[in-house]
Amino acid sequence: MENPDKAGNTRRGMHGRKFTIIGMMVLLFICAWVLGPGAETPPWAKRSYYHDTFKPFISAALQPTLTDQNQSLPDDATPFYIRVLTELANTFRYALIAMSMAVPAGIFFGFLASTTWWPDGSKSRVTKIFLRPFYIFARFSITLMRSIHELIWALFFLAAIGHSPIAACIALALPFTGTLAKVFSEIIDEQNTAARNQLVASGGKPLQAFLTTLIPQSFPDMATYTLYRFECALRSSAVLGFIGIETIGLSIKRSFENNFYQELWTELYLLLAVIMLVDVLGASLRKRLNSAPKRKHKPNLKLPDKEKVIQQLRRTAPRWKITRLLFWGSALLILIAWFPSITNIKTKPLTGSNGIMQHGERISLFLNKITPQPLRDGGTWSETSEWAFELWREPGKKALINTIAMATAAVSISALCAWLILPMASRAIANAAPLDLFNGKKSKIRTALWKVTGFGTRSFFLISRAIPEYIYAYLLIGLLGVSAWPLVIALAFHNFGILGRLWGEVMENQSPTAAKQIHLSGGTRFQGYFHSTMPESFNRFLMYLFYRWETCVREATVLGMLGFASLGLHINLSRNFSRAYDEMLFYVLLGSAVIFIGDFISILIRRSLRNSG
Amino acid sequence: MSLVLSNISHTFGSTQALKDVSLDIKDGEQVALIGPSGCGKTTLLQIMGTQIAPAQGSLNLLDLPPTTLPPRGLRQLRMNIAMIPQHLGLVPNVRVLRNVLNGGLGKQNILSTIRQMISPSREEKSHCFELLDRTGISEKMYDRTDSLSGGQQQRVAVARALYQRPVIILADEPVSAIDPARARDTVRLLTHLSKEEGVTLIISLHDLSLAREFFPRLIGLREGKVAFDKAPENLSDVECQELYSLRADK
Repeated sequence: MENPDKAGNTRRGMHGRKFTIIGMMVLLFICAWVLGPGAETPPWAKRSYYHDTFKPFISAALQPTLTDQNQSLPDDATPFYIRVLTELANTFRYALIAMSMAVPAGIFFGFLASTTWWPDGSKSRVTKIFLRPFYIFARFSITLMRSIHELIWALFFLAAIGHSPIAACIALALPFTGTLAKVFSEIIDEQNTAARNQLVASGGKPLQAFLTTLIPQSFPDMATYTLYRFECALRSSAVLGFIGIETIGLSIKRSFENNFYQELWTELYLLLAVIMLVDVLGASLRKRLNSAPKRKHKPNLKLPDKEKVIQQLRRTAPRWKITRLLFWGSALLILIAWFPSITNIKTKPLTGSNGIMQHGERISLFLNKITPQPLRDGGTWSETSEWAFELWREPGKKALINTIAMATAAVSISALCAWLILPMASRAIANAAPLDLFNGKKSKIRTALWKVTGFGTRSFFLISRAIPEYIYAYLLIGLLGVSAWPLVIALAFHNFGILGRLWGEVMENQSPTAAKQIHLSGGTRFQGYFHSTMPESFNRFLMYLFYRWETCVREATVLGMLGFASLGLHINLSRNFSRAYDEMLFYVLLGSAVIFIGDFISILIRRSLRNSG
Repeated sequence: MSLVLSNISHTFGSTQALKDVSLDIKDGEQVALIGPSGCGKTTLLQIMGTQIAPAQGSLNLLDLPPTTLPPRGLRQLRMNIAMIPQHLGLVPNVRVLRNVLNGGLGKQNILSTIRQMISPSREEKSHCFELLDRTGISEKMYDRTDSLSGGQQQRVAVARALYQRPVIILADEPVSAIDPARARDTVRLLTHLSKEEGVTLIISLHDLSLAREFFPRLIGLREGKVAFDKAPENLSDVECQELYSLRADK
């Protein structure tokens, strides 16, 4: 028996889903039209391309090396494997330092950006008026911090305080603080408030209830998200190599530039291994935090002394080992990352070499250069707005449109692919007996085939997201020539992996009852996915897609630095040729304006979703 | 007098949840609220627990009028009232100990809460152990709360209520989700403990036979009104049937 109103909603929802998918394809075509065809003279048009570039690149994948490919190195040069391992350790170290700053700052800003701990009751109105400016300040700085890509923050910081690892770490930490704060405050806001309200009803203050209920409740989500962010920090730290910080990206760039493809593959494999390790660690942590450990030994309650019983209960309390190990392990690693002198490891100082100029001198020069040119020359604000308008007309507008088109095209491609391939990666569906239902007589071959399929698809998702899009884009531009498409493919491929993970988690949290029903009435696993699992998760899928689109706009801005006419290219041009930091800032703010608008839309969407459901 | 309600009425939108309810409940009394779904039991308990302010009528809890109290005064009053809601309101992924200690937050300031979160004192632990012992689950003190069964989690909620050292305990359908034998056990535990401590106990129940067995005073609610307020031995079968009958006039 179906309620007419409900039926109407379902039908509208169905049209909404079809419309969304068709709309995505139409968007993809529009973007393709905006971005135009590939490179005018693609490298493969040259006859020697296959022999000189393509074949060695591919065949080197199977022959990674640990020794230098460069034969003309002096004898006292640092051997390749030491160089690469040092850079890998640096990648890890800078990511760790950045996270050790971003997590406390993220908690602080996330706390300010949440209202769940505010005192309630009419008498607290004054306190609320006092708290509101902090709230607005926190929200604004969170969006500002994450609207600018870490690589661009790094360009600014390196220009302002000189070429030092700590500048790069701070640049990494800024957008990560913003993202962590945003996600932390959302996690806290989404918790079930039953326990919190219970404590307030028995006389606790809202802040006390916040500390003792909402914080422990959101801890598992916050911890796993932090580990995921660390994985992202590793990727970003690797990319910092492309602007000269000594991380693995630097070697990747040099090896590719010199056609040392065997070295290149070694570097890629190493980066892949480290990131996959963190990914697997994160998955196992998530599993443990979301389930209660079991007690192994039955406690002896017959001890004469009550204190002894309590002590015994405490000592034998069931706990997960990995969570403790991870906590103390990361604390130790952070300590070593900041102060390597406590061990015997030799490292370069974080502050780098000071160079010729003093810090103060550098900063004041930078501040002078970042002031819009008319203002610097003593002009008025109206002249400045004219200057900005000129930049907007040529080339700002076109660059912004190209950037958005790249991001949109990439997101559409990755969404359509991930949407189709997702069931093959699901532990519940890609299984000889889907959804744990009896599925006829067991066959070893079928079981093995499904195991291989599921594992293979999951690994494919994992590999595609493990390497940062910037590195994919860098390699693809080298192989396919300069156009928008290598960048779009790089973005799409990386996002495909991320969506696979995010959507996969949504599916795992979904109740499988309706899908089971389809199986039990004779349907196939794919019918179950497309008619039950997918429609049920659709809204959450879309939410993630929108969040990925925002990230892609930031990312597309940066990828443009590799040479396609978008915001990134102009950012790079104004920096490299004229050190025109004012123009650079203009393009950066143009990109971040898109994020601000996106953020506003996502708040509206969230609100309407929450009200409707 | 623990609790005096005079002419309480309350509406949610267009639904009248309570109509002109007046009740006196003395210190240490044990009262069961009975009635069909939607008769206003939960609303009445929420008003008694100061979770919502009644739309009309006046209310005195422990000789204080909660509707006119400032937030601080209300908090002090609430410390004396322990509520065990239907969903229990436990934090799932912390230890049982932490959930029991949460009952004492009202008497603490923020700093001692933080101190307690990091490391509870010996006295706090020992008091918690005693209460868990009395509710029969002391061996679970250091287990994660969501690893306990439904009935065990109820006992955690009871221990938390006792940790509060309340004057009144309010329990909303505490046994609706467990089997009859365990339900009987929990009700026995609640009545026994509150008698020992001299605490006023007000409980809402679906199960009439349980209410008749354990409570000296039964209040029947129907469509937001008090249908009867009697000792079980004075209650006739007709009155009980009328309380739960599906009348056609709705």
